[in-house]
Amino acid sequence: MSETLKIVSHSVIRNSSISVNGKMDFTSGEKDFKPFIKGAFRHYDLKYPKFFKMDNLCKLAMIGAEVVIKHSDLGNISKERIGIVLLNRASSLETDRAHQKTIDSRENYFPSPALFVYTLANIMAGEIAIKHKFQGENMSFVSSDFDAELTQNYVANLFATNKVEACLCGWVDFDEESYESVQYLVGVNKSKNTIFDNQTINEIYNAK
Amino acid sequence: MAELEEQLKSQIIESLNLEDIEITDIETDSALFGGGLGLDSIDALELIVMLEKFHGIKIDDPSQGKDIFKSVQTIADFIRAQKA
Repeated sequence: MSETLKIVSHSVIRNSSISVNGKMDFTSGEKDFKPFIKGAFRHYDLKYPKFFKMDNLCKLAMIGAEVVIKHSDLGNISKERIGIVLLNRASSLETDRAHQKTIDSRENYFPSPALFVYTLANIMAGEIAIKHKFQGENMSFVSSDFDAELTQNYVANLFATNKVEACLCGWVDFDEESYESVQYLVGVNKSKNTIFDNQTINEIYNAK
Repeated sequence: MAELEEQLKSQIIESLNLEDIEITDIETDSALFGGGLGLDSIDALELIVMLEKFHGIKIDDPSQGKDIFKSVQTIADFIRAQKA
């Protein structure tokens, strides 16, 4: 079945820029992540107040997913049949550190519930699923490097075992102001689209 | 008298990351939950932490929160009662 799988649309976020299907879609003079991603949120007019409560990893995942989904025709696919498979290196380390700071001192011990809920990497997939009401398979892997093969094998198997009809996939990594999101939507029989294989995934990731 | 209420509004905005909300957007008597602020259960927990962190008041029974956090006014009244 994997030969019929296609990449319907893809987005890349790095260096204060967002590209969609290889074309620049948004760029900002802001070098710091927070003003950059806030600018992107305003640019795409998302109107989702919960965005501001998210940690940086989830904000990055959310914007990357938003532009991919916006550029993908999901047709009549049920939300229950749309999966999310993401991968990253730093897991939720940035928020883990922030949480650690709130519990380091006995005299100033104020763990924040709003922070604590982001101390798991898979919440990035969860936030996307909540916003878009995707109820299919939801998986987050932690890997030392971008791994096209891992994602390709796992997602191809989801399709082969009839678990999903579309799947948002990608690499979303954030650690100490270093960030990168490469997300793509995989679907079946979109004849005009790019074949979903390791070579294509790597080409999308490595595109400048 | 209203200084505490204004202070609370500022602390709520900061603690709950209400990026698009100004102090003037929060009515002192308006419901904090189920209204336009879009607050959820995690925010309720965050308000309990806020009360302890900024005002030194610990709520041992979270079920009390329903009455205390109805509005900025009820929070302010609770703080004043605790400190009286």
